Amino acid sequence: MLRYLASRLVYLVLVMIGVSMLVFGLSRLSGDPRYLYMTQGSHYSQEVWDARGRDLGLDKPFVIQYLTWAGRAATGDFGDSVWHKRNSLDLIIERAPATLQLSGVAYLFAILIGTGLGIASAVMRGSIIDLLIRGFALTGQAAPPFLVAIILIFVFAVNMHLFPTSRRGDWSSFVLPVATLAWLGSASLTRITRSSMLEVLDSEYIKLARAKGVGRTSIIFKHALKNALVAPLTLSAILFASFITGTVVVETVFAWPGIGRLALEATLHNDFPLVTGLTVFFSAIYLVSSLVSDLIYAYIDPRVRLY
Amino acid sequence: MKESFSMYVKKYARHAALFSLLLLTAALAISCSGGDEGDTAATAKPSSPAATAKPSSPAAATAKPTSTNVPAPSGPAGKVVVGLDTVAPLVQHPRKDINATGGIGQNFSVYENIVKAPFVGPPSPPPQDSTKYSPSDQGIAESWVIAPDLSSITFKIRSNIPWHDNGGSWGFVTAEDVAWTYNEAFALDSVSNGAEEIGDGMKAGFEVVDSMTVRQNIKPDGFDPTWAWLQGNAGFNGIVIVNKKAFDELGEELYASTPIGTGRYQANEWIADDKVELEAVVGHWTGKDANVKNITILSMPEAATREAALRTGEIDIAQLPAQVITSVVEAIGGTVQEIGIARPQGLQMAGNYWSQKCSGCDNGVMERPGFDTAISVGLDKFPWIGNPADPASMESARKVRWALAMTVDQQSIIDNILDGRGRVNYAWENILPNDPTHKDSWVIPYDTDKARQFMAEAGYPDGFDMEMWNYSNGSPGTISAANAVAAAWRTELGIEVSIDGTEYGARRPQTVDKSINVPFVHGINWIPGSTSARYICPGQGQVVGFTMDDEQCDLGLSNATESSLEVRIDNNIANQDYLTEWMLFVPMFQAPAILFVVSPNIESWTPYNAQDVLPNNLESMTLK
Amino acid sequence: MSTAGSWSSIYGFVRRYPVLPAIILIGLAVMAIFAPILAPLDPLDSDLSKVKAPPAWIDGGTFQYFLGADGIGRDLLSRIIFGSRISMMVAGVVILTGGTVGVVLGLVAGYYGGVRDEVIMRLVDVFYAIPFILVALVVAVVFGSSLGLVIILLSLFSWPIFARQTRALTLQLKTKDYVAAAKIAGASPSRIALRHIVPGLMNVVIVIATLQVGNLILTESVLSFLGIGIPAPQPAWGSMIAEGRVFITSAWWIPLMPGAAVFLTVFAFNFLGDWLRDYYDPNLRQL
Repeated sequence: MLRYLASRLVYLVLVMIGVSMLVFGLSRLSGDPRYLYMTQGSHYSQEVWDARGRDLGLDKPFVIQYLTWAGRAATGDFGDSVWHKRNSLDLIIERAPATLQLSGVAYLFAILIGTGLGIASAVMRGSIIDLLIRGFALTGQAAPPFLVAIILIFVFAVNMHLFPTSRRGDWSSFVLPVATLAWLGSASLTRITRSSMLEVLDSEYIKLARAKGVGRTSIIFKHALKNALVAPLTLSAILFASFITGTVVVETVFAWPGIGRLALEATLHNDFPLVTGLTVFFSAIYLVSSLVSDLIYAYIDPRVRLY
Repeated sequence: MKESFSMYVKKYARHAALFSLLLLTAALAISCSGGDEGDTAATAKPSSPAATAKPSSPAAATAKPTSTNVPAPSGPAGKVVVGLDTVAPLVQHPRKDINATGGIGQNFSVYENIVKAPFVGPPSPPPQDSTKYSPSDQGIAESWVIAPDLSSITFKIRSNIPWHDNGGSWGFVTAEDVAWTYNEAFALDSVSNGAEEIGDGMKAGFEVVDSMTVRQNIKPDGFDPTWAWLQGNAGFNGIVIVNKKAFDELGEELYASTPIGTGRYQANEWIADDKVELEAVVGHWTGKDANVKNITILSMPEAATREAALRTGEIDIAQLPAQVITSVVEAIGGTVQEIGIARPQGLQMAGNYWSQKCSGCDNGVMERPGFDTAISVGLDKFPWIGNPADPASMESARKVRWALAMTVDQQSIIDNILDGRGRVNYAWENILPNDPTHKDSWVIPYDTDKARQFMAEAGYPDGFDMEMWNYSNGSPGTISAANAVAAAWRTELGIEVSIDGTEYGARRPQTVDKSINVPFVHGINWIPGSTSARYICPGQGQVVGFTMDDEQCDLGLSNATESSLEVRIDNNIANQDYLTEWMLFVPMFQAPAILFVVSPNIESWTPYNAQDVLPNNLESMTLK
Repeated sequence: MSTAGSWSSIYGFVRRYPVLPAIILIGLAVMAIFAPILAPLDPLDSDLSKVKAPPAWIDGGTFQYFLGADGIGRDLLSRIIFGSRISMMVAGVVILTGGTVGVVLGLVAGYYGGVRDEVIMRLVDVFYAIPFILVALVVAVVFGSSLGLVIILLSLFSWPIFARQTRALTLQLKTKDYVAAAKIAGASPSRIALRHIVPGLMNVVIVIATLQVGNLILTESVLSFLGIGIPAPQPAWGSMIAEGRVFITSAWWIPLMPGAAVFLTVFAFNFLGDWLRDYYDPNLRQL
């Protein structure tokens, strides 16, 4: 088990290196970074311009520039945000909790609703309930998230006065953003869980168990569920990552003070230190969550540990 | 397989509990570390840079030494919430203020400038003579004397202006504060946006003469007669006076999050992309306090959400696009507030870099990569660009640009897209048809037949392909209008327009390094007698995308040192004659860049005509 | 036959086959192919007197602008019809390029294994780890957004899914008897791959492709919301919704008509994809 964990961690580091190279390359593509730090007034002397170039290491070869950046990035130093004029990591850490809370709660609901409905739908296959659940799943994945968000705001906040329209506040301000995020996620989880459960219920050893006379409920929950949950588990890691990026839309519409919105505004301001910091941060979240789900998978299914 | 549903619910609840328990623990751990209370957004660690300064309590405010003027009869009261699309991060340090957040703070009445322009009548350059300023228009400087040889201005600073007591007690404004502020802004490697607006000649440096007197040195022949507008509160991004002692004591990081100004509102919190919390100062040094005690300015990037929040009453004032304002006002009542000097919007026909004479450039010559690219590719791919070396191309490009201009139905755009909230305008110099200095020759007829004739004469009877830059973070009315104009060009003239929506900041460097050669939507809200040629001639400042010829540039740039207002206006009129003849700016309309819907519970608010695009004069707000 | 009997057999048919999505998708195909004939007006033509005109059945609407007009007076129905072309074209190209690349790489990884497998799978992992929206934003801000860029970005976003599933299935198919038989008979690896494995993959690929279409259409709409979608004046559904969302209370038809088009299309593709998956092979349920 430990060996498995170790090998997964090594692999995680390799992937992070790959991601960081990509991100660094992109940031240099945008042109001379000095334009970000200095306005283009005519009062710069050539000496000041060159000195700034030396500060930023622009006179060195690209590989050296990357290694310098990567070295600093590994310690969490992404440089100062060009727009905010503060340390990028500090900014990210300040605003991450708002996003993690939102995504966390939405993720929780999506998992519960998604797997619950998926199991119910599979077990009651062919019934009206199955049809309704499948309908819910299909519609949930069919609308653009920002449109859903805006419609929810106008129906439930403006017309019915049930919740605030926007901004993070007490629990009631979580309802609409969570609903937007969770609806999309739970829809795909429902479908995956349903198909996975159906497949397991059709499998040989379940048929054998039935032939042996094992009770229905015992079949479903003792034998089938463990295997059926493998696929949704794998999906849930990817889902968490997609929630993180889904928050870009939701945070913008609901004026939520998180890193999704920070990322959008950072790119629009060409704020490359912050953008690279955020990209590495998001990737790290994805990789950690995928590691966690792999570990749970390995725990459940010993065969996997041989890899 | 139809068993009772409740049985499954029970079993499901029992067995899925383990799975969800793990997630619940994780979620609880996350929420506990967050702390969601009330309205604050960031976690409130005392040492974290985002932590705001101590909130000022009413007791503290009244305990401050009040000015010698009579205090306000009854204190400020009430609360107003404003919804804006962005709140920029506060960068208080003058050397680093690349986003002109000092200017933003001044619009929010947190900071003040050395001069405060009187806002009586239409926008015009403020007086040079400090005795012409009425007591109710007061800047940090009590009076000033301009040296007869125009080599300096000596300011006498008022002695009774206390600093806001954010983060500590900072005493009163001194000459040292003023000198430090300006010298930092004028430093060689400063990125101050406010300093960029000021001509080079005025930036020789500030000296402290004594504790309340400071002198601005001016380079030989560098005196700019519009300095009071540029260094005051109504020009673009004016430099505001900030506190040196606080910077010395708090250190760079804490200083950047502790707004310390002198205005009628104190900013208790300034959180970028979130909100600014303003509280009225009681006993302001001008003797006149604000009316509303608390104003919160919220950042809500989504226009539909701002509208929703206005409808539920969560905000009282909402920035909204022109296209939806009428229906919102019909639904909730209230009024529409235009802010600022209206901008002439239109297409800058970029690429026509006709003057290269540049005193500040290497070899005295301006580089123009956009123009050179167009020439090498071939001007038939850039039909609106004329080559000064080739009279035939100049004439055909002129006809093309005129054809484009005559296909713009300004009145229809104003009536249908802007719901009437705009004015027909023909002049880049921002002179409206009803102005006495306006000329009939500037009027561009809406005449699609003549436009087609011009296109044919220029050699493009079937149109051509063109890219247009219509930046996505402009005002929504302008974006729609430009799209409508592009559609009209396609229908009437056969011009296939592809629209680039890149946001302004990302492509702005191209307007500065002169590499842009496609028309783009833009306009600047000049006041009479401005040195508007700065923007369209080589030399200091940015080049917007085209230049006039050498003779016109010399004429226009002479405004920078011309003391007579009449002569400056005449020079701008001459420039406009040229711009109209050569159609380097295709007008679409003139309208305020920002509009607000003000809910009925606000009795009055009288913003003044400034060039910045922000809510201002917050102290004039009164509640019902 | 009694009416009750024929109703129940129709009902049975509808329950078993994806009739509703088929109708929608056939309608979509007809719209896309015959757009110039079907569209009543030019989708790029702006008539300023018709700005925000409501649909025909609402007071103030005209039959000519049947679903209403948008913020600069363009006919919504015509734009939606032409927009189907753009949606289908973008989806088609993306799935073709991303799918081909993904399938080929997945095949190579699964069939040959070893170093090739490692490298390709790590590449897939890197792509999964990258936050797509962020990178799309950066690239679009740097290069300026265009139809081509949107297609490239969406292709880069979708190839990993094809690769991963193809590899998994290839690993399974590799162990089948007929592959072993072909090896014994001396067939070259590429021949085995092409003749014996690829046919087995096609069902999977079709299911993935069908399920991806909806995802792609929604992602394009999110890109437009962020300001980096298919640029104006093209009548892409995503940009129509994003541009029109500000009119949600004053002229709701402007965002909701294209919104309905997106909704129906994505719903239909997802429904069809689910059905195909159930129909082809229970083994595919892991998708």
